[in-house]
Amino acid sequence: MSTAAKSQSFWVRHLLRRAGFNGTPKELEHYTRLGYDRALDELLHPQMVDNSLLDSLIAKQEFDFTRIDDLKRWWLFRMAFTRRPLEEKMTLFWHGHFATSERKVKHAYAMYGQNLMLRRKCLGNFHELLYAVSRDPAMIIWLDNQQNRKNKPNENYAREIMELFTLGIGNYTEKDIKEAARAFTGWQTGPQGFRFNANQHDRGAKTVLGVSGNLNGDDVVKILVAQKATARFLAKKLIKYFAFDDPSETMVERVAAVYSKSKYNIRQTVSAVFTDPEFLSEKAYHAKIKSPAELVVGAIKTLQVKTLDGDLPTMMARMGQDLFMPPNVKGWDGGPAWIATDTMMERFNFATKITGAKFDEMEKYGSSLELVQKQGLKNSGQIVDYFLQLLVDGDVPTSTRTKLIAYVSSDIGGRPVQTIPDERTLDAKLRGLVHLIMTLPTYQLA
Amino acid sequence: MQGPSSLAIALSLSALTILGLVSPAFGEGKSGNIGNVGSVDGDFFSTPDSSQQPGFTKAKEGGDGLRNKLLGNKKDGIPDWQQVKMIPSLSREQRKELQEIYQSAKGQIKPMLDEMKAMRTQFGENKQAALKDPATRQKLRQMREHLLAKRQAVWETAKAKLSPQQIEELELMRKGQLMPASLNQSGSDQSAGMPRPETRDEMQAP
Repeated sequence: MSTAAKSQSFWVRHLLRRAGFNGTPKELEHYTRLGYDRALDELLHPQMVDNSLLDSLIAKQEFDFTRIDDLKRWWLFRMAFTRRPLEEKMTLFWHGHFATSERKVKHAYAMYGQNLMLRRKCLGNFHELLYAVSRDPAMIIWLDNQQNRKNKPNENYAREIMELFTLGIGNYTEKDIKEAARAFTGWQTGPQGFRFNANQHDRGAKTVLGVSGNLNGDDVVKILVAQKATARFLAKKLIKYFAFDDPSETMVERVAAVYSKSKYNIRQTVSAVFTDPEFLSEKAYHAKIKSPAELVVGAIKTLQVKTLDGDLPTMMARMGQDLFMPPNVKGWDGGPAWIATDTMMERFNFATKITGAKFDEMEKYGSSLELVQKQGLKNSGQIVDYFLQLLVDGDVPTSTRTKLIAYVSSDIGGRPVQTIPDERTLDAKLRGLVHLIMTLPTYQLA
Repeated sequence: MQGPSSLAIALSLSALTILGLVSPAFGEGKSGNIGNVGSVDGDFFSTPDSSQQPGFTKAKEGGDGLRNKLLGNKKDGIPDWQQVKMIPSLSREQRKELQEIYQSAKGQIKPMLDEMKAMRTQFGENKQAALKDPATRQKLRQMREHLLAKRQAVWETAKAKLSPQQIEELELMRKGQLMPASLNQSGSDQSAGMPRPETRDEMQAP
């Protein structure tokens, strides 16, 4: 689809697919009314948006926060019903960036705590975020810093903080890792949280990235966040997460400059991505493969599903994204890696599940006709267009649209009909149509 | 739920609405964009009675059907070792004692779990049919009741080792209301050169 001279609402929808998980029709209406700049401003300042309704809804769910399965449902519920979509999207970004898995941590409440911490600091200052992550009990267990002692340094955290959290490979030496590991000795966790074990801390002189002194973990964090390589590394990762998989060097430089100039302000850095001309271009439009979270939450929102299947987190895991259980220290690769034979099948299964739910109890779902009437959809073409717009922003080839119209305009045997005989058939056709659209290649794109 | 008369009206309306399905304009490949997607009240894919209050349906708790039938829904409110060990104020001694209690219970229910395993092997591919057999169902019910009683007894034993405050701590954790340790980052030895960062955004607590 050509994006030339597209309307403001077009770009608002594009923004919501990236800065959020798409939106309900009401959300789309709300953000469209605000216009792009104000919509972005609201998304970037979640603390200004009243989210008390979500809190009250969560209180009614009776989640058990000491059980990882409930924790997954809790987060999915948040993503689906929050009024602060970017807050959840950023929390998910940091969860992938500082990938920590409950499989090793084996402490659901520590994972819950880490999630709260990431959410609280998701758009704040990267220096403070990295400081908090370095003290986080789940992280300390995950990367073995509990075993990082004066006389026997463990390099895991020091290696990952450089390779995966800040600089990226090629921007540090093995010597830097060894010295940084010494700086983090004695950073442990106990039942009450972070614990600095002075007896196990190496107070000797160290040199990390050219800075020498009696460095501790905080000093290393301070050194790392200020590096140009960190600015570029984070900028590139944020662009890949929000815009497209192959960012230009010039865009990376522009976003990295904002990170450095703002003294590591995440909100301003993310804003730079969303206001960059390349984000508002054809290159970015429908250019990202949806993550399982985007796919599932997006469907919940666009179809306004309120009764969520308790097994949705398990389905997401089979699609390749198991919340609180990223595959390894690198987190999820994302991009084309989301699509494989088995994960595609799971996406189709999800489409079947969400559109076929209780279809045999049609009398309980009497709103298909209401929907058609409310939207003023007078023929199959309008019905198809409505759902194409809702689900894929209307972005399909004409031939696909024609086939979908033929589907709606035919009976169960595939023979063309002039009328849909009853509401039950209408409901079946609408569900079938939504299912077909959800299995289109375009639907896999954000 | 629609009554007969409203359904009749609905059917006639739907027939009228869908008349002349394929408009000639479609063949011209017009844009699929119908403009603003208006708001749809209610919930197309969920039951009307759930449309005002989002929520989850009951989930499977993993494992196979037989195991679920035996162990029941884990949300029966009886804490297990994985939960009890998270209580932040547990002393080393308490932790050791509690672990022993749960380990010992594990040993006691092992024969029943072995029996379940044998039943599963015996059922083979015919598990669903076997589960319909009244005698099998009765046996499973008894096993389930026995296991639940055992779990309850273990919890009562464990509870006796906990202070009322610790039981309260566990309950608060289960509700997500106890401040997680992740948010307590001051450490116990701040004097040992652990400055706060210079730049800090004031963010609202979640």
